[in-house]
Amino acid sequence: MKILVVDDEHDVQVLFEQRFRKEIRDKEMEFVFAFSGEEALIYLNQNQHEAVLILSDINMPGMSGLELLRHIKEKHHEPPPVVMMITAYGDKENYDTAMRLGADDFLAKPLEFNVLKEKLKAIK
Amino acid sequence: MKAILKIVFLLSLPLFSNAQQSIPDSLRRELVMATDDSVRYTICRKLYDHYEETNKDSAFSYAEKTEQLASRHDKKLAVVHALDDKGYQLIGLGRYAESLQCLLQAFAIAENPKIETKENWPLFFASFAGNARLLMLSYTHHIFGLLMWQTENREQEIFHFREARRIATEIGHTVRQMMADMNLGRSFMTIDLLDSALNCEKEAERLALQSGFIKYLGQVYSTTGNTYLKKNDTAQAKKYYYLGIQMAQDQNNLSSLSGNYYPLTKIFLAERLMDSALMYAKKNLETIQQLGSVTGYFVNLGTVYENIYLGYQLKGQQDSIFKYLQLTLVNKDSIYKIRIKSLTEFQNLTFKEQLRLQNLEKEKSLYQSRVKMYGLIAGVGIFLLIALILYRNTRRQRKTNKELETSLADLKATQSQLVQSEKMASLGELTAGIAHEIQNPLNFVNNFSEVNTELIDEMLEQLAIDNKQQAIEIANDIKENEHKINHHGKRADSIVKGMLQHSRNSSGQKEPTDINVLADECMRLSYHGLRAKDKSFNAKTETDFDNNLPKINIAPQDIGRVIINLLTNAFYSVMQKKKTAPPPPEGGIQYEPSVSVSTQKLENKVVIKIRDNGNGVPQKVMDKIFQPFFTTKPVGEGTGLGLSMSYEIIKKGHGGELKVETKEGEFAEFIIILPV
Repeated sequence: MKILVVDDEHDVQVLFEQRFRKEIRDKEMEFVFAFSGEEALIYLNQNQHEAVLILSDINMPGMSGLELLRHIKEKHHEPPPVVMMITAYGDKENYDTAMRLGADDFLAKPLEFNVLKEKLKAIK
Repeated sequence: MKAILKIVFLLSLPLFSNAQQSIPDSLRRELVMATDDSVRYTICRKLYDHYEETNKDSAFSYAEKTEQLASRHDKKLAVVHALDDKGYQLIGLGRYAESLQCLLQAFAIAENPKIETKENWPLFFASFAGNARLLMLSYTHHIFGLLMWQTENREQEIFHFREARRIATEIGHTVRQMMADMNLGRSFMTIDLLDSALNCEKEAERLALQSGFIKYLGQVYSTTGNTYLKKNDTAQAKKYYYLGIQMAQDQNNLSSLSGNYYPLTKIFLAERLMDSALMYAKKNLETIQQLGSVTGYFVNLGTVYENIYLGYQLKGQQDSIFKYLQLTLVNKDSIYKIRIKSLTEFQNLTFKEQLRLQNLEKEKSLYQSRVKMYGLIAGVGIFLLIALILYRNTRRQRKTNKELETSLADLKATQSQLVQSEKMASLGELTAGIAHEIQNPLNFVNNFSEVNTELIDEMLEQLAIDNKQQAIEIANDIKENEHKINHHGKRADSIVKGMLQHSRNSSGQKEPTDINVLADECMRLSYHGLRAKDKSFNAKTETDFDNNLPKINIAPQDIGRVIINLLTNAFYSVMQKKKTAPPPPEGGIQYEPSVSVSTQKLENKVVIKIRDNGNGVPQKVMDKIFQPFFTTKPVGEGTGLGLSMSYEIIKKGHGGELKVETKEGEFAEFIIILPV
């Protein structure tokens, strides 16, 4: 399963690679990283059908996670990838907007990786 | 020289003054028949213009009428004009306090840009296509300058004439420029900047001839004359007084006329040419009598009678000396309180003179000396009366001052409350942002430390099977993660510290501060503060710091508050622009909000620039943005204190500068310059 992680903080890459090192080693999961909404879109356009799951931060300079979500859901990538939003702003308004734009799930920072792992396994 | 030739030419043209004399009567008839207020207004304005420099009492009453008419119909700019006219006439009448009230009222109206769009009644006669409100603002500054001149507030006087000139230049109004130059020249003359004075008057003359508005050329020449007199060039001074008299007569400007008669008389007195002195003094008396109450001016009935008296003293005509001495005393009764000193000196001198004369003529008849005594007693009586009036004025003034002080104290208290609430409001916004922003570093701290626990378990496993190589690799990962934990822990720490710093009441204590660190902190604080408030908000943030910046001595909370304030404005501006930006054309570039902070060392200064690519500051509010309570935000969104507070902090608190560069619709850049 290929997972695209979108976040403007570069340390997120190290964190994910370490927290999922077993899964990566066992080739259960494969991670790619984009550090902005724009970068994520470019990746998705060049690698159609590859990423099945997108984990995106919301507050990023330039294109926000919510805009990215709208683009993905509007442009009908086939099959539509699952999009989970991850944000420090876990309030109701953000949650509602994400859901309205078609997010599949919504997680708050600090991230509970055990919970995330459960959710990812359920999708698989 | 050319200019003078031009005047001679102008003077040689046929004169219209005879035709003018019937004007007021026909205007008054028209006024009685007028049925419409706007017509009445126009007639009263013409009558005012006629009497402006020919009779102060009539001019005042027509200024009052135009004010009533304009107020009744809420014609704001016409009201300002009438208030200024009234203020001007009140100066002449010596009623300075009332004049001040009129002018403050005029400022309050004219400084409000909203009245620009309102339709108005005609103002000055010559039609003007430019910004009428600024024209009135310039006029108000001008009259205010005159009031300051009469009450001898030199700095204020020059400031307001300069403002009047600046605005007039900005809107391209030659007549107002000329008037301001003319009076600035007189101000410079008074404080002995004689060359500057001559330059101003020369420019005023040029502008007067260029615009054809020569009503006040007489005054330009009297000031020029006065300046030459101060330079001890009596011949040149006389030449200008003669020119001034001719011009003022031609223009029927009695104020300017008396302004030329007076110094000319003084010259003749000094030269002991008593017949010439008496002739011009008497001409001046006639002029002043026609002009009405001009007790507020230096050249008034009192000073004119004084000249006649001095003339007769030169001649030694005893009866005339006494007659005019009495008249002098009687007519000096309305002189303003700040002239108490010079008046007293004058009185002392005349008394001494009186005594001297008495001694000299003791041998003359008893009858004559009795007359003298009566004169003296009358003089003393009048002097006491004047003293009483002045005392009363002073007391009234003191009472008004006290009331003003109380309301000033009230205002100050209210202002400090407002400043406090502005602080609290921005603090509230920031706290919300920080509560969220702290989650990001926390995310790393929590997760990396959990990962490390797992890694340590793994390392132990590897050590148990003696796989040293693997164990070392894991240990390195742990170490790297530990660094990250530490880094993000510190990041959280600085966010919290930054917030605390902002909330703390500034002690104003200055300490050596790294501006780059401060600016960076502020950038994060304000960015996240706004993100917390508006979920959809996003902007590119950039920092460009000069690494060679020395630590400088500032109050970090205060400067921090300024930077946050400017950044908050910048973010607000780009957000507004994004909201209203039209969608880009196909293939075009979407507007991308961007805010940047940069620092730079320049000689012995540190420059901090806060730039945004938002809508910029509109030119017409540029001079207002640092004023308290000025805001472009909708009601309830801004207190209008941010920039004025910032300005105070930079300018007064740190001896620095706060400037703005902007292009409407493109960018705004606020520049803080702090001395090292």
